[in-house]
Amino acid sequence: MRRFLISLLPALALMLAAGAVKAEGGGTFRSAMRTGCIEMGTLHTTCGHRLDETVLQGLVHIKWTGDGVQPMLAESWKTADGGKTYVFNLRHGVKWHDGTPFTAKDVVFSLNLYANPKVGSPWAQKLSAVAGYKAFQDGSATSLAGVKALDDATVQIELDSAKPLWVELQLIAISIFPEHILGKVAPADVKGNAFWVNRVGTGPFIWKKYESDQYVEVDRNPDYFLGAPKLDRIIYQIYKDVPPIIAALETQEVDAMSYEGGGVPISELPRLQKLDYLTVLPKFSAGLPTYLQFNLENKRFADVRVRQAMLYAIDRKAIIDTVKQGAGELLNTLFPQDWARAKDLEPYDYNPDKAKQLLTDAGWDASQPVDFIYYYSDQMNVDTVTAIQSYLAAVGVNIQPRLLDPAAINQVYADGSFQMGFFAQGMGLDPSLGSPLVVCGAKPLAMGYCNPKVDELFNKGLESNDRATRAASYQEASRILNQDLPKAWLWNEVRPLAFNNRIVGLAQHFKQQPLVIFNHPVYNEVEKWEVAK
Amino acid sequence: MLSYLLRKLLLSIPVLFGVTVIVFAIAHAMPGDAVLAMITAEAPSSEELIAMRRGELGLDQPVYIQYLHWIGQILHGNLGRSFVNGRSVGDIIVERLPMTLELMGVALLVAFVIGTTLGVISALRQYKLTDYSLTLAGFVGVSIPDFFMGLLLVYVFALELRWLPSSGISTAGENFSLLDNLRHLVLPAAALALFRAAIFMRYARAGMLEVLNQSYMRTAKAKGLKPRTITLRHGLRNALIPLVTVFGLALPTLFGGSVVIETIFQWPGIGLMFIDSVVNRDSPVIMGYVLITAIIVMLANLGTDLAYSVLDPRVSYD
Repeated sequence: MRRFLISLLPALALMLAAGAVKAEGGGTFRSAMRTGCIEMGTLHTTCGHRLDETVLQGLVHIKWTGDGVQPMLAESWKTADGGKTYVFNLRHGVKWHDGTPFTAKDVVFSLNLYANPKVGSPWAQKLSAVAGYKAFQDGSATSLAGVKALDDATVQIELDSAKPLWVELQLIAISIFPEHILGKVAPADVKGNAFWVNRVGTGPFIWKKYESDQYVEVDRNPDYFLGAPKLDRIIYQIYKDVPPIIAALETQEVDAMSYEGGGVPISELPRLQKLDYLTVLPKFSAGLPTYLQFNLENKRFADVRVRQAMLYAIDRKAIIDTVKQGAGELLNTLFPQDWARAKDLEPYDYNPDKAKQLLTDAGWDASQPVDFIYYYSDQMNVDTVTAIQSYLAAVGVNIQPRLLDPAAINQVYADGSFQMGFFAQGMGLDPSLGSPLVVCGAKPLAMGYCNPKVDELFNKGLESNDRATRAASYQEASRILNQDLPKAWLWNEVRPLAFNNRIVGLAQHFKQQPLVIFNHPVYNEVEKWEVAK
Repeated sequence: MLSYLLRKLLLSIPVLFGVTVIVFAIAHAMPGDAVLAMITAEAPSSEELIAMRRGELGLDQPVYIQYLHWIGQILHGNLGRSFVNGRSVGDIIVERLPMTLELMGVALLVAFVIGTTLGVISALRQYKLTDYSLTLAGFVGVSIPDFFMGLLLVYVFALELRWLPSSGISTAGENFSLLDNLRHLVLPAAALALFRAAIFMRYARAGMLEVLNQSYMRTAKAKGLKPRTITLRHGLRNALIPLVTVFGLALPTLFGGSVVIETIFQWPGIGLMFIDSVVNRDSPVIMGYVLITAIIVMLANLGTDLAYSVLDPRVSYD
């Protein structure tokens, strides 16, 4: 037996040595993606939206710098009536990856596919301002009346009313699909169609291979209209959990981490910061206001003094400094955008005596526990909830936290069977994305809050595309939300990110990006990135 | 023998039926459903859209109708389609089962060989330093849960020593090579194997000690046989019999362990699929997983019974 074991040793050594030096081909960029839902397709999930940056594309994409949009399949556009009718001039000579020319027909087809009630895309609502949307949705029309191809390279989109920010806030969510392929699929069968694991697009990279729960491989498109990519290929490596991504980043098995489902855990940050081949961005804003949710349909929380008391009771600075190790910026209203916040907001500094007084004045019944739900299950957030629990207990609010998964959260939101919760909302793109949290009747997140003045300001914020004009509306709304406290605003989440320096252009572009932009394709000049010499 | 086999197989049908009823009921009792699991805050869905999706998936029916529908499909040899991506559950399992079997098979084999060998050594050196050290190591092995063992192995061999890859089944985007696959297999298989090796070791040691005191061992020694022949042919063979049971019983816990290990190592087998399906409330996939693992475990139990009668002539089934 001993002899047998000894004879195994050289084989084992050989096996280990084989991994020590890895000869990489011309230029492969490995990017972690935290999702397994690519098979559902772009119309039903945006969790694979990075493939809509590199394989499929939209007419316009958000720019990584966060200021405006980048013309993609649309070369230019104009509106003569202040944003009611848009005319898009499409790029000439663009071909789908299979060689078929891209035309205006593909654009008309794609918008109709999103809005088609038989497809059932949750992103259909991005087109709800398009003329004829309602008729299409309720079955009295068979297509969007407002979308027309004027010729092979021109598309006109007419809206119900003027929306000067429609391209910047709505159209960016829409990808363009090849009609010659998906047009042959019945709308009801589009979800989960084989196309989604063998996509044909117009982007800088061509779909090559998909292995479920392993990776997607895309190869360079030498005919790309913004210039042939320098990288040979991108491999999106699929992970279910964050820890294996961090490990793979450390061992250089991937170059870029995912950022959708959480950044570098605070506990791992010091280790990663010591590695000279990584660029760590420890204070990357997630554009994610984090707040205590109140079920305002429950009378216990109807008195604003109760809600104010909760905020006075929690030492948010201490939580950010200790539990979160700096991964948060205090926030006293909804908007993570600096320009959308008034400067004179009530800071709600830690004051447990004032909290007790307010609760007494409001007649708070301390004997009744509060059912409290949350769903971020990573250690830092679990610790944060524990800290909140002890701060609230000190003033006589006895919360009983329940950790639920997304399906269960949606269930309790739907039937209103909870009292409080700990949540966050990704809205880095624009302050207007905060409306589902606070406008009258917004289900499920507004939870009974209604202030017509806030609704009016949110509408006004979309009437102009001039930032200074818009800022006035949002700043006023920020003041009302700071006083009304429909939710107890805690902080803006900061999400540490890390990237390998091996890919030139990767960390550089993220350094210029002001915050994480969730669930939208972002243009970040990927065709110019290259492997360091 | 044949009638025993037939009886066992027939008996397994009501057992499988019971398993599916219980799991279907539990899956249904989880809060939320497949439609709610897909809603994200970024795109709140309208009531109509939710109702439409529920209708498509048959989730608007009472639970017993849903079950009858599912069992009807099973009787036609069809495991149904995933609620999430519409793929055939049978296809998904056929695609992923080999990867789980590779992981579990290697882990079980390694655990058996290492565990038995060390157990026999431990028994032969009873109450000596080797025995005490191995016993201690065995207790440590039994006490460390496999998920922790997995994290520990990643930390030491992937992060610190950089000898082995930290996750995955092969290097993404490279042509398949067995060597590459085996390098990726080492850590997850070791994480699953070490705990079980410790168990095999304890049983092998006990079995061997019992056999060593048997009179036929003395006879063999008196005949003047070589010590090695005595240990291997007369001792080990008989000591192995109880281990067959332990081997058979290891399979269900191995399925449980592989769910965790596949998640930690992003091993694309049916364990990873199962976790996803629970989060997504994808009941056809949940049920498919349960049915397949239940069948495999039952077959393994049957195999254990049969192996017994082959190994030990005193055991016979009529």
